[in-house]
Amino acid sequence: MSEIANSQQSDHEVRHHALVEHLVAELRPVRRLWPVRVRLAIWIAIEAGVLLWVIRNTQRTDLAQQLRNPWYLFGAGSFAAAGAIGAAFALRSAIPGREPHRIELGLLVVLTVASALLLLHQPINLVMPIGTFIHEGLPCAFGIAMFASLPLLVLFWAVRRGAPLAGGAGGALAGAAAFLFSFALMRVNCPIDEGLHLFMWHFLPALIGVALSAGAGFLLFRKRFRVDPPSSR
Amino acid sequence: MNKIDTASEERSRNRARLMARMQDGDGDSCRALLDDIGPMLTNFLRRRIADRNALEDVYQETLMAFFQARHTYDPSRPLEPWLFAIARNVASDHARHFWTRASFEQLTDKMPERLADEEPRSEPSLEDAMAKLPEQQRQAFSMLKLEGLSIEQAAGRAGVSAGALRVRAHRAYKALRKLIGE
Repeated sequence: MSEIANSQQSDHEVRHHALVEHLVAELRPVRRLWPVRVRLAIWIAIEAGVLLWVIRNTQRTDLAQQLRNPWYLFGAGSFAAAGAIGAAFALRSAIPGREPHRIELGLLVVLTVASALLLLHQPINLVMPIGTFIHEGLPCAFGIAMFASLPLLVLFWAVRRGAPLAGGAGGALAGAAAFLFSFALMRVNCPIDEGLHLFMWHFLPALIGVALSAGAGFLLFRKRFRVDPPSSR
Repeated sequence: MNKIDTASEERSRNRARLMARMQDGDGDSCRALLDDIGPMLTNFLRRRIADRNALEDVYQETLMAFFQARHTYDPSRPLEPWLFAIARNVASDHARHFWTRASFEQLTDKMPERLADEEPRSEPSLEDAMAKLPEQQRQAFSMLKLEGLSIEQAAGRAGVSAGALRVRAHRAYKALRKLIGE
């Protein structure tokens, strides 16, 4: 019995040494990932650049006045904060052992839901003709996607540079970051403060964007952990 | 703080140093680190995977994943959480595939018929493979891996330098790998 155990142990060691020699032969110097805080700072700088562009080209005529309105500031700011937190989590999700904890993810969801509930504070116009509602809304949905596209691409690239263990989660977090921030940017750009418009043409497209990002992450980030094994057993 | 804690912290720091050198492309550090983490990794996986063959597969896959994800390791942090996160992921992937496969399989009380000209295949045992090695290589492998002697002890017994014995052992590993693996 002990001979069998010894033989199995030796088999294991032979295979271990074979694999180690194969990996040593394949070994090349690698460029380490920059720390999460550095990459997050770069991402926030990109978002700040987009924000400056939006402020210069906004369709709002009352932006200066709105900036003194705490409801408006808190409504836009909480989405921007949720986006930045999502970006930090997305970057961490690409480093084994540093994935966000469930409690942290739960807090991000709570912050997003609470921010969405703030939209209820806005007046709701139920007598608007459906044609006008759609005509005014479609450019906003398009804008949400446009403002999210560059930050989303940057985050996807950054996550892909790492080694995400759960592709779908990495994609969803990258999507949450880009689209929640995009929601905040759209609050600066869009002059309509009506609750139904904000929910239907700002928040819902952002949610759809997050879902699509999760799917894209699942496809793009999966099976990244493959090295051709040495001629296996 | 007791001696065991200090020793284990020192070991952990040493692993982090080896990993940092491995990231810079140092083959000796890579070899030393993989040999060092091997038993720890086996114990970790053994608690999750009962089947020996599956354990071997997952072990190899984990080492390959470890190798491929090495650029994501931050040398200022301990290596173990990073390594175990990879191992846990590979093991759970394996379990998921196992259950997916099992859900499609049907139990049967009849063995499938074999084609008349089909030769039974079997992997050569370690004993058969060792019998095919040159005497010096067989002796080196046997002393190091079966008897558990250190390099110095084995070299003394064989009457050669430690370096020469290492070369013989390495050639034996390569030959055995070929014989058993192909």
